[in-house]
Amino acid sequence: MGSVRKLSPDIIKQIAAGEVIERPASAVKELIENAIDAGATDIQVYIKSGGKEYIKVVDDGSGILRDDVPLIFEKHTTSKIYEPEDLHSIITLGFRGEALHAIAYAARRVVLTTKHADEDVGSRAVVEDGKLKDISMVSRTDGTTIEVFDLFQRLPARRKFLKSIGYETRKIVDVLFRYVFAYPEKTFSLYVDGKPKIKILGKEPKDFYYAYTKRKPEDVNILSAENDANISGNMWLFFDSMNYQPFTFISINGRPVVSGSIYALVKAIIRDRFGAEIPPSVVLWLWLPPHVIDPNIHPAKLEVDIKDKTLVKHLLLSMLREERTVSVSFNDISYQTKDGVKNPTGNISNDNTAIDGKKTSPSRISSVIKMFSPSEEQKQVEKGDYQEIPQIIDVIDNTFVVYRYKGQIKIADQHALMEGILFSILWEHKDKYIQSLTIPWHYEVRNPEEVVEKLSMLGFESTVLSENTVAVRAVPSVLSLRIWNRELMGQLIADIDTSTLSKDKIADVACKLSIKAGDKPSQQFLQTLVKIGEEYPEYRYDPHGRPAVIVLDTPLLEKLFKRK
Amino acid sequence: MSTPMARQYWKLKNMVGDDILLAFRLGDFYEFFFEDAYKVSDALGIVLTSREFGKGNRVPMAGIPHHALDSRLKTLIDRGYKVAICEQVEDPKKAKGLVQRDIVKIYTPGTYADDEQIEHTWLLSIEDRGNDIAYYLIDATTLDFISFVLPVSIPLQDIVGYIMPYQPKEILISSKEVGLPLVSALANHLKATVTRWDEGDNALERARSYIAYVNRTEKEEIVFENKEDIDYMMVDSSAIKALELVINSRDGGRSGTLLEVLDKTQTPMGRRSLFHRILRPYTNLEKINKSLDRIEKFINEPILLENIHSNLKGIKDLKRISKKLSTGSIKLSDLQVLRVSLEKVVDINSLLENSPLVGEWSMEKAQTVLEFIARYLPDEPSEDVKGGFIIADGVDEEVDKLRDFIKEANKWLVAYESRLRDETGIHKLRIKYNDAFGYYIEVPRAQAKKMKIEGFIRKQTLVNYERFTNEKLAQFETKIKEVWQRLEERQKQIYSEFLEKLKEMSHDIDTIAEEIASLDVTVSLALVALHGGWVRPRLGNKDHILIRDGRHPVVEYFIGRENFIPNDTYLTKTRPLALLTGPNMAGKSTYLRQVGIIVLLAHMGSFVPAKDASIPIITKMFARVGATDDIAFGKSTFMVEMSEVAKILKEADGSSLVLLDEIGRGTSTYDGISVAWATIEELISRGENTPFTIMSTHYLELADFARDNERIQLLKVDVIERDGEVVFLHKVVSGVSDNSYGLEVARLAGIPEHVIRNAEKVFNKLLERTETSETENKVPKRKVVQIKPLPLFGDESDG
Ligand SMILES: Nc1ncnc2c1ncn2[C@@H]1O[C@H](COP(=O)(O)OP(=O)(O)OP(=O)(O)O)[C@@H](O)[C@H]1O
Ligand SMILES: Nc1ncnc2c1ncn2[C@@H]1O[C@H](COP(=O)(O)OP(=O)(O)O)[C@@H](O)[C@H]1O
Ligand SMILES: [Mg+2]
Ligand SMILES: [Mg+2]
Repeated sequence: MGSVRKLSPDIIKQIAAGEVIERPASAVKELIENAIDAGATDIQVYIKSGGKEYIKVVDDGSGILRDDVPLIFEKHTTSKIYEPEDLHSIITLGFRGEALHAIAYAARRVVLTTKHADEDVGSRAVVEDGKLKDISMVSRTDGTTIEVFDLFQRLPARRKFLKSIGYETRKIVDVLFRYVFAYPEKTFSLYVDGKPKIKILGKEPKDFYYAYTKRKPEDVNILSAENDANISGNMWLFFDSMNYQPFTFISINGRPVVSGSIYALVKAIIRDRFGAEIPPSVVLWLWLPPHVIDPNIHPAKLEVDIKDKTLVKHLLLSMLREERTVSVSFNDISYQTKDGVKNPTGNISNDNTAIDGKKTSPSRISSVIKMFSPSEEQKQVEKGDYQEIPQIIDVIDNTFVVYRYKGQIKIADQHALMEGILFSILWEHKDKYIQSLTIPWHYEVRNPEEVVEKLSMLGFESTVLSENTVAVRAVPSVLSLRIWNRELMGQLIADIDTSTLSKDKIADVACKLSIKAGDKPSQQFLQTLVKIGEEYPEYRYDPHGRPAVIVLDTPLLEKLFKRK
Repeated sequence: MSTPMARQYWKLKNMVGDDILLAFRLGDFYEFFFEDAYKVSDALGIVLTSREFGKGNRVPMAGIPHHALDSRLKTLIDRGYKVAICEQVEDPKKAKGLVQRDIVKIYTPGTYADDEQIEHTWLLSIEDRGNDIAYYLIDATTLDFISFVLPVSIPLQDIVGYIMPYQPKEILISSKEVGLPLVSALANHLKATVTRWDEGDNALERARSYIAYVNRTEKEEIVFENKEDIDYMMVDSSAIKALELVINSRDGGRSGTLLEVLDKTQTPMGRRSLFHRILRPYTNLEKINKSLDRIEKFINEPILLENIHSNLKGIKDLKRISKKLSTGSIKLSDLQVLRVSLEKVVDINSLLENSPLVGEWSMEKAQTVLEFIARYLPDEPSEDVKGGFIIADGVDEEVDKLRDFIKEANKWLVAYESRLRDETGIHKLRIKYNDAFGYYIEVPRAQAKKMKIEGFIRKQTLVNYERFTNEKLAQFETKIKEVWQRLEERQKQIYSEFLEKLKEMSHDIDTIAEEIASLDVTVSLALVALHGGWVRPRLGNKDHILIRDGRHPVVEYFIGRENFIPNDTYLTKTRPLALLTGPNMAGKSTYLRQVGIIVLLAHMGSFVPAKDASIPIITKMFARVGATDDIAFGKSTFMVEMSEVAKILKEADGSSLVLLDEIGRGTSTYDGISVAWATIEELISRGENTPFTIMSTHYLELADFARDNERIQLLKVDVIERDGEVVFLHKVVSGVSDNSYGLEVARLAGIPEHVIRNAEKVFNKLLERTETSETENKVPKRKVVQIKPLPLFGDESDG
């Protein structure tokens, strides 16, 4: 890194102002970017309490010259741009000279340890309460360490605004992965409270996919293209028919981009190309001449403006053209498609054959259409006094139940909804109502006395029938709707027979007992489920607090269509 | 006072003798009497009571409830007690007169391992063979053993040095060894119990009969397996200590040791095997390379590596279970554990089969054993053998029939219950069962009037309920009880047949355990290498030790990789000896240890923390690093060092590594320097047979002697002094240090400023005196400069 200077007032004026450090994840992001700008190849992040208490970023980059150390915590000091013109050809991630200042200003204490490759001894600087306290010499390998203690100690308002440790940690994990995918050649690791959380052990695409999803992809395509306008791109496509949440990571000139027009464009092109059947996950790197992009549009530098988007579009399309693709299949060479025919190249072909050889069925699309054009019957229902009964419109992929209730269209995740209901009934004893069984169900168990006791805690009435048998005589119920049957009960009993009751266990039982995504229960059963969900909105969360039902209301639609 | 029970007690108590506590089973308690009662009540903090032991004769007693035995046993054994467990050995219902009791097992510190224990429990059996003494370390629960045969003349601290890492809890000797001073010294150091046992001709046979005795089995059941490898590196006892391989020098614990850093093992077998590998690294090139090849393959398959690592997790102590099986003490719950573990083994095997590591380990037998067990046992059998469900459906026709009968009976019961409800009109009538009352009919008290029907007999009245029975139910009960009893008997019979057959497979289970141990160690080493960026060492070039950018894996782990300064090492046959100078705290000791550890790791077949390493096969490693005054042995630092040097001069050869820290300190300067120099001269005069050697010293004079010798490299740990500050760079470079900064370190350690000032004066006076005589090495006049405390330790940072 060159030497650090204070920016001139005219540049300062041009720099998009805004709050740089919003939460621990933004500090982590800034520190990672600094490390990357310094040419680091190994970047380690350590956090405690979601980064609120402690953040440490260690890099093996160029390090900071001893003479520069006193300057870098000042406002608008940077080694990355000097002249106003430099703003048009930014090649570094940082350029405003604000990040370290903002962090040092907010935190109780910041400790910097660094050694520049050209010097024989390193420096250590301590900033307390925003003021540089002490600089001394230390030994260190080349690179920089920055430790941040109590990030928002000096900004109580900000501190109050922070969310739970879990939430802040997740945000940091998100940030880290953006750089992991933007810079696959570098090594990143994240340690949360001393334990390794992210560590990509290999360097192949599948290793990255595995690190992010904990799954092996079924197939990977590595694509690349370039054009005469000095624009080039590389792309990884991961195919995995079992992963319902494909991801998209995009970086432009090494800067991760998480929203904005380019992001939307890429998603649209991919969707177009692969249809509505589970689309592949995408990692995309775009390289454009610095002058055609403007990174200076977003306070947190999360978006990039590209002057000519059609260039990018063409690049993407040519990348996705068959002949330019290189296919790598990790399963083995004799990778078989579902219908037994060898897919000769593993490439994406132009017909309707998805990567696993299954025909892309148009069902998904038609069901969406159906959803918005209510049948005669449904119209009837709406007008009439059946309004209280949820009407099932369609079930997408045997997973998402689309229904209409009180004039609103809602979508329920059948598994999550049932899980939420069972859990609430079993654990929270919500509105317990006991329904006697005319003929008791009996089950063989190992610990009859215990099972009876546990069942009674869950709201069932049962008795010991013999040394290894219990009889269930009454079951808890909601709205006199029956969700229990002999088989379900048997599963529950088998589950609690040999383990102790705990909230987690019950959540687990609820999950196990619930219908799965892809199951095909009867229409009536689904009706019962959504009905319970409607009567008891508080059940509409699974035990982990995830929503099981979403309402397709105007705000959501606006968000989806990016009208806002 | 001779009641039958007292007689029974004394018979058993006399059998075990005074130094074993007798836990005498009475009902739900294990009772201790007389002296035993005092000891137990004291050790466990439980109440001392008394009991009539014959007419009018109350004796002290203390008891443990039977379900608490396991946890209490552990406490007693940790205190060094031995405990004999006496159980009732016949069914009280069938007994005529007093129930027969017998000792079923004796727990002793050196033979006991609870179910959670991972590490070995070693029993040390010693045998005096005249010129030599043989030391056998035996694990009674895995039947592994290791041995040392050491000459009688070897110093005591060496013997302790070899044995200490294994931390045996009990020493077994015969009458012949009773007088040996080393026995009591070892017992003291190890805090071990000494047991005398004369049955058997040699140390191994004695251990065998002793283990059979405490397990109450036949000697033939006890078959030891030798853990030894013929060719392993001799790691000198002081090197084990100096390199902090498995116990640290701070508190003798595991933290801060090489073992801790390397240990990512998931199974008890793996952990034990890693421990063993550290103390007995290979010297066989083929074995080393095989291990390195496997690690390398894993590193190229990181996803596979992670998957196998997480799959290893559920595998329990197969070795101990297999020994329980072969010695007849296996429980149903052990079989369940065995089964779950084997399932994991099968999963792992299929992961390996589709990988580049196919064929490296053979665990196919797991499938066979598993299938065999699955054929006999249901997926989730009853907790103990008395339960209704130990043999799977379809194994035995009679068992199936009996079970069907019970099922039918239950159906009948349900039907009968609803009939009774109809008859009585009591909606809440229930037929229930409990152990105390058997079957009964329960109705709410308010409705009990309705039960005044002929045939119902009141059994019990509760606050809200009344319980009845009738003839029909009583008949039903008798019948079903009969069926249950028969079922129990039949199942037990089949179960013991099953165990007999399974026992024949215990050898297969042992083999699987060994394979898993080896896999677990490989996976652990591969993970450490992958996470730490370690490299594959090249082995076998006899001419040099070459390490580029070597690091100390433990220090690095604690201070963070970025703060650890890597250093090179290059010892060759032509310049085999390096003399390292540098001030206090510069990193001399760390450097010596780092070289020792890297060489050792390479011989373990592990990757090493460096950028590159080429290492010859080293057959002996000597190291003395850091101050270790063995006051306990009545020797001074200098004395201990000299005996180490004597040993090195005698034993070290061209394929040895010698690491000596601060040689010659601990005596007067001139003595120290002269002995050190004479040693160096002796070593380097041996040509090809000079061991690879690194010595550190404070004596700059030594460096002067060495300056012109081309077989000696001069190294120093670099320090810079700038703006009145001293910074330790921890970088090893060639040259000689010119200042030891002893006074600066003294200040750093908190010696008051005026004392430091005074020391400065004394120093300069001394200097004036010597300057007139010696002029060779000009020491600058002294002015104490500032040393910054090492920030790494001053901060509240995390690692
Ligand atoms: N990890 C690092 N390695 C080397 N130099 C660094 C590192 N972190 C910061 N610096 C130096 O400190 C300066 C200030 O960093 P800071 O993050 O505050 O500003 P910036 O990166 O220049 O701009 P921005 O505010 O946009 O991030 C940098 O310009 C760089 O010279
Ligand atoms: N290569 C190194 N890099 C960083 N720190 C080191 C290095 N070597 C030693 N140290 C640190 O310096 C301290 C003193 O090391 P030590 O080896 O005991 O010094 P000496 O034996 O020269 O007195 C130790 O606490 C250690 O953490
Ligand atoms: Mg920056
Ligand atoms: Mg030292």
